Amino acid sequence: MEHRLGACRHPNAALKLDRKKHFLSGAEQSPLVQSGCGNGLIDALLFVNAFYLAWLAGKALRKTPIRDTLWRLCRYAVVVPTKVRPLDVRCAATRATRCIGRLGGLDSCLTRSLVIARLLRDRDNVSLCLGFMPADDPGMAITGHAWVCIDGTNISDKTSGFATTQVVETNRLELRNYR
Amino acid sequence: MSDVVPANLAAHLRKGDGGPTLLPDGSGVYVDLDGNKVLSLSKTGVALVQQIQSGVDGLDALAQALEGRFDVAFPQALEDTEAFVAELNRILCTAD
Repeated sequence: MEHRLGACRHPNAALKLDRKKHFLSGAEQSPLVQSGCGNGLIDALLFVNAFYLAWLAGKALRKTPIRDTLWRLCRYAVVVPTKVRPLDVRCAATRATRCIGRLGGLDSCLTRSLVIARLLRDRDNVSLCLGFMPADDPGMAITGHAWVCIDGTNISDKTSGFATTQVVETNRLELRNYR
Repeated sequence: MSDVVPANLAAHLRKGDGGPTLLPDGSGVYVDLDGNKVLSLSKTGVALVQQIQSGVDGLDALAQALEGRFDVAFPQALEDTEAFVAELNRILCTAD
């Protein structure tokens, strides 16, 4: 049970520990990862959708601007329960992008945020945000970050993440424009 | 080089995703979402882009703005402005 509690805080670690059990069994759900329906099938469904979207996003982002990639993701139908919690979506997207990364794809905050944004698109006030922070040394590349907000609250990063403290938001894409 | 900012560059900077965003250290970021490009700008670069976006087209006028704001002589400011505008034009308005 302990590793399940960690599954949401450290999805990658959970993946290593008990991937098969976690994704295929609905039993022993942690309160942190339990969906509104209390059904492990919801998590599995979210993961399958997230994996598919993350694969598409990783492929598209290599050649396509972000807006076009988001449009491309929005063209694909996904099955998302209406009462699913953003936390569950974040967990599924994180696991999916980590898996994609291990398979040679693009595992980045942008991929993850695109997936989360697409899965939560039909909710009110969902936005995909992009931001940057200064480089540590002059001449070095600046650091970018992407995250998803609902009603202005970052739901794709942990509250202790650097995104909430140092990154300055530069762009915000409202998902209602992509329905 | 022409003594004005190229029309396509001026149009590009004025059309869309807002001005450069200032970072805490005074530098800036200009994100071209459609072109899939991110430019990291120095303080001087931020000032020049803001001037162009506000409607200043002449390189002389841009250099004068730099001269007034930063501690730089006009000839140096003009030279830097020409180089910056040429580089900006190459990055933003030239297909990859």
